[in-house]
Parts: sequence; C-alpha cells; structure tokens
Amino acid sequence: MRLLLVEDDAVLAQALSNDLAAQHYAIDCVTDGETGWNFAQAIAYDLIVLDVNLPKLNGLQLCQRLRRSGYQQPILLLTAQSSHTAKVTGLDAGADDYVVKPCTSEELSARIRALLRRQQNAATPVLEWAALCLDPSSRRVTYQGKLVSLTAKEYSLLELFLRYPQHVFSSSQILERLWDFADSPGDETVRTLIKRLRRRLKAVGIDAAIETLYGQGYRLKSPPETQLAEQQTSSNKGTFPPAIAALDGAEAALESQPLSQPAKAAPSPVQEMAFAAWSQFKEPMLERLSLIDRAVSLLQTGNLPPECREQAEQAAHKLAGSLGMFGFPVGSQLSREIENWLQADPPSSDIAQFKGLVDQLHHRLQGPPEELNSSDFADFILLDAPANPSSLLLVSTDNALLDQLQIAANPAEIAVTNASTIMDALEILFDETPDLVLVDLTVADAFQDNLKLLEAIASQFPTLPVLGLIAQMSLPDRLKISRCSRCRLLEKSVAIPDLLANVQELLTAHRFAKTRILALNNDPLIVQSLQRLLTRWRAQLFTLANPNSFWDQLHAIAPDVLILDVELPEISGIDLCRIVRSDRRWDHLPILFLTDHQDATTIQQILGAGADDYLAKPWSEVEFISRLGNRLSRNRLSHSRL
Amino acid sequence: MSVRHVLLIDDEASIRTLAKASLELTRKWNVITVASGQEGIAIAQTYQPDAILLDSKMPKMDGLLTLKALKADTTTQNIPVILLTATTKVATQQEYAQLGARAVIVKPFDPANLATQIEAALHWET
Repeated sequence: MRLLLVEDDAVLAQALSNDLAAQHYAIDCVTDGETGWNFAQAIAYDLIVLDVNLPKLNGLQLCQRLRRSGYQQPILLLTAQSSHTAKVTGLDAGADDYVVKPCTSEELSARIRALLRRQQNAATPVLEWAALCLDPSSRRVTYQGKLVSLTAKEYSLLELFLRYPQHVFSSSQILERLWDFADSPGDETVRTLIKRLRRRLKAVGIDAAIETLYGQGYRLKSPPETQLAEQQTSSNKGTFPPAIAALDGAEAALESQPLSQPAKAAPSPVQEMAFAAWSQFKEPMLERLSLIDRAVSLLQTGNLPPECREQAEQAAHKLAGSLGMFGFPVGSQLSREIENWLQADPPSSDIAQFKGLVDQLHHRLQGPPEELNSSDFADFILLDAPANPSSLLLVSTDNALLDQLQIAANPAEIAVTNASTIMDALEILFDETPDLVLVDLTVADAFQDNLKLLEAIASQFPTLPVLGLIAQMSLPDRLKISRCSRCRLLEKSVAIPDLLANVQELLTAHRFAKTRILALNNDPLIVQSLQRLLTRWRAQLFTLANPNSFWDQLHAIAPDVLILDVELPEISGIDLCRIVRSDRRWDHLPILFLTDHQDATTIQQILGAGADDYLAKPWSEVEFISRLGNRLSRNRLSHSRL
Repeated sequence: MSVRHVLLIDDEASIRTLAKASLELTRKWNVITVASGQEGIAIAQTYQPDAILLDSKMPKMDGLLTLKALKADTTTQNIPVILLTATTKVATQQEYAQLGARAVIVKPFDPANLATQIEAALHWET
C-alpha cells in the first residue's frame, strides 16, 4: 500500500516514515501543501496523512482541494490541536479521521489500518480468500491455518490484491502502490514479484490465484468455490471461457487469447486496454474539463482573463487529442470545436454556443466509451524524405573527366558515380536510379552501344534527364541521337563549370522535387508503392486513406496533382473528383485515377467527373511516372500560356 | 524480425500510457516513454531507438525544437522521427518535413492501428 505523508516537521516526518516503512507501506514524504497536492495528482495513493499546519497550502485547504478534485481515498489529519472545534473543522474539510499529536506510532498505524479497512468495506480486520488469511495487524498470512512465509514485498502485493479483490492492477499501478519515489524499479520487477508470489502460493497448494489479463494487468481470481459456482452457471449457457490464469507475463496471455476467448462479442485486447486506460485517466480528463467549465462561468460574468482562456484552450486541445483514443470520438470533435471557439479571432461573443458545446461534452463523458472504430480516426500523413545529395551517373571511360567532375560536383552536393560499359550503366540505373545521366558520346567505337543506352533510358526512365557529350558531330549522328533520346548535347570541350551549370539546370527542371502529390487511397500496399516510387522521383507525397479531412487537407497541401481511388470509404473518388472540379480554385488541378475497374462505365464516370487520366491495375512504374509527367508538363504548359 | 525499439516523447500521461500499451500489445515492441523534449534527446542519444514518436505541443521545448535538436546531433540525426499532433493545420507539416520528420500521426490516433501506421510510414517490414 502506498501512502503520502505531508508533514513539515522533518524529525517527526522521518520518524513516522521509518515506522510506516517498517510495516511495509511505501511512503512518500513531502513537507508542504503545494507539493503534497502535486504528488497526490501524480500518484494514486491508498491513503494520505496530512499535518494541519503546513507551509504554502495548509492541511485543511489541501484536504478540501483533494476532495473537490474527486480524491476518494482516506485522508488522515495529524495535528497538535485537540479542541473539539478543530476536529469538527478537519472532518468537515473532508478528512476521514483525526489524530492528535503527540501520538504513538501504534495508534497511527491502527488508525491507518482501520481507514484502509473501511475503504475496503470489510468489517473484519482479517483479509480472506478461501482458506487464505492475511491479518494486517500481525502481518501474518496463513493458509488452512498454516503460516505462509512471504517477503515484505510479496506480503504487500498480496495485501493489495486482497484489499481490492475485483480490481485489475497494471504493472505501473503496482509499482505506484508498492514502491516509493526513492526506490522505483521497472515493470520487470513487478513481473518477477508476481511470479514469486504465485510460486509461494503454489507451494502451499494455492494454484493460479492471480490471473494475468492481457494488456491490462493482474487480478486476484475469485476463490475456488465462487469459481465453481460461476463455472456451473456459465457452462449452462455454454459460454464459459477457459481460464487464462497462471500465465507469467502478458506475452503468454497474448498467445492464449485467441484460444481462450470466444470469437464473438469479445472486445479486442486493444479495446480492453483502451477501456482500462479510460478508468485510469478519467479523473485527470474531467479535471481538464473543469478548467473549461471555469471559462464558461467567467464568460457568463463577462470577464474571462487571458490566462484562464489560455488554460481552457490548452485543456480543450489536450482533450481533443486524446478522448477519441479512449472511445470518445465525439468527445474529441467537441473538444476541438471548443478549442476553435476559444481561439477565434476576433473572439466569438456567442457564449450560448460555447456553453452548448461544453454541456454536450459533459453529457458525452458521463456515458461509457464506445468501441474503437478505425473510421473515426484520421490517417497519418507521410512527409517527403529529407533532401539527399543529387546523384549523377557518368557513362564514360575517361578517367580524367571523372576526376574533374567529381571535384567540381562535390561542393554542389552532387555525387558522381561512373560506369564504363553499357551493362554497368544499366545495372546502376535499375539499382539506384540517379538524378541525371551524363553519357560520353565521343568514343566512336562505343557510339552504337551508347545509342542503345539512350534508347533504354528513354523507354525505361522517360523523365530522367540525360546530357550527352559530343565531339564535333555530324548532322546524321545528331539526328540518330535525337530520334532515340531527348538528351541535351554539349561539346566535350565545354569548361567543367559550364558543364556543371548544365547539369544543375537539368536537375532542377526535370525533377519532381517541388511536385506536391496528394493521394487518396485506402489500400496500404498501393500507398506504400506510391511512396517508394515517388520518393525515388523526389516528389512530395501526401496520403489520406479517408476522405473525411480531404477538403481541409486539399487547401492546406495545395497539391500539384491529385491521385484518387474509385472506391473510398464514405465518399467515392468519383464524387470527390466532381466536388474538386466544382470549385474554381481547383479547376486546373490534374487528377489521375488509380483503379481496379476497367469497365467502360467506370472509365466513363471517371472522365465524366472531370479526371484527366486513369490507370488501371496492374500498372507499371514507367507507365505511372510517364502519365504523371505528361499530366504535370501539360498543366505547367497550360498555366504558362495563361 | 528483431524487436523494434521506440521512444515516445509526450507530456501527456494518457498518451504515453496508451501508445506504449498499444505498441507493446500489438507488436511487442520495446517502448520507452518520456515527458519532455530534453529527456527525450538524452534518452535517444544513449538508447538509439529505431524510431521516435514526438509530440508537437509540449511546454518549454516543443516538438519542433526537439526535432531540430535531434537532427543537429550526429548521434540522433539518423533516427526516424514521426510527429504526433492534435492540430490538423498543415502549415507546420512542411517545416517538419524540411527538418527531416518522416510522417505526422494525427491525435487522437487509433490505438489498434498505431503500429501499422508507424510501419507504413517507415517502410518497416511486417
């Protein structure tokens, strides 16, 4: 059990801490009311012992604040004032008991035990589970009358389970309850401790008393006779799930989960985890809501100070970002609207609307969380990869040229690789497509081979810029080159800086680097391949799987090309295409469809909705890039003519 | 496939708890969580995670500053970073992209699909 002691008398605090620690309580000790409040916010204490006279925030004020915030565990006040009035004031402030100093540590311990017992709603001071008995006053544990030997931590863990027999404790909750700040180990220690306690219990004949609930934590099972009764009732219905007890660690439970749970109606482990997390975080969430409530009250009095507005805004922001994960998607939406209302510039005067939103949020959070549904969540957005140095493939046997080029290109962040044969060049092209190819066409013997290379580049890498170095070439040779490639030709005698300037110009002109592509597609494989492909071509791809936020994203991203799928959740790609075309701002946006459908009706619908082009699966990279390149260049051309 | 190691930097306890549980539950990844950018940078330097999930809005040192610091440090600059943000404004997305962030996951995220989103964003084999 974990206790918080708030006492400013350092000597007394140390003595009490030692006494309580000797009784195996985990104790955090702080010396002023404000720190006490902060600790109580951060940790779920089983009981708080408060001195009345404390600096910063006195014990009575702290007690009131704790109760107002919804703290429900016992609070014990500790004070030198023994007057009847002082006691009444203390109890009225929300304390459960009152101990007058000086008191013996035995008395304090007994009061603490009594309060913890009361919390458990048990009349008997002895905690029992079947024939297992734990007596907190003597700290003895027996099973069928025989002593069970436990270490201090094992005892504390068993006591925790016995005090809260139905409660599921996560590893972090067990850590919080059993260890103090000064000695806080990791989850692994909890697993070891659970294992040890199970072993101790098994040694005396208690098998599988503590069960692992996957994704949630550990719980004391019902005693055997109760289990039997439950089993009989359940087996009549034919739905009793086999127990998943005695599994060490969540992993084992995960493996057993599909077998041990009925396939239907059982919430997924993630669902269960989210619900369990809600019970853990409900209170802090409601505290955030109280900051918004305060803003409502202040707005109604006509004076919402900027700092209170900001606090409410931050609270709404946090709620918007988290409620959906716990099963409150509407709660997230309402919080976002509340945040927007508070951020409005100029400030909105419609206080009734604001209050309405807050009331709806209250109402929503009073109900249970919903099952998680992936369509309630926004898709992630891929950002383009950070710019890498450009790469240039030099196809030449001229080592002097290679050296000069490498030296000159390095400061310009252009990496130069070299291929001396057409085969090497093709290998590099397919393995890691460079940003530009520079082909030395001056060697007469290799001219035909190089022409073949230019042809291959033109067909396989149609948008890849190519630069050819020539000697004084005849017109027929130039004609041959121009027939198989759109490469730019330069005389080899050109100065290296001029050559580099040409390289950079082509790189800039031909790269997709500044092309912003927004793709709506809910097929992760397609999204992945688009990402891989477009990253290689240096385009900036933004993807959405769900059209919910499409309109906002369209405006924010302002893409150069829109890629749509026909089938999308809720709104079809064809409808989206029509919506885009109905807005003058997006009239010229190139729209390309990737589709499974090749039937004439669908194609007609796609083009009729205003799309520029479509590609039916399976499509090749070359085809896709070529169509995309065409679409972009036509669009740029039409804009330049406007 | 080896176990992934992920560092989550978020000042919000509920997000830390839920994201960690989600990733451990669905993929058995090792997840370390910290509540501030400063702690995150220190952990990233020593722990060298496979990925960092970074909250955009944190007190003192926000996501952008943390991202800049991570990218400026030679020991952490190659660790892929995914931003977690509750705002749907895209203006800052470009800034994240320029600083080398790989993706943005919008809060609230789907605990059931968080790992899938990370895998897709980082091209991790599944």
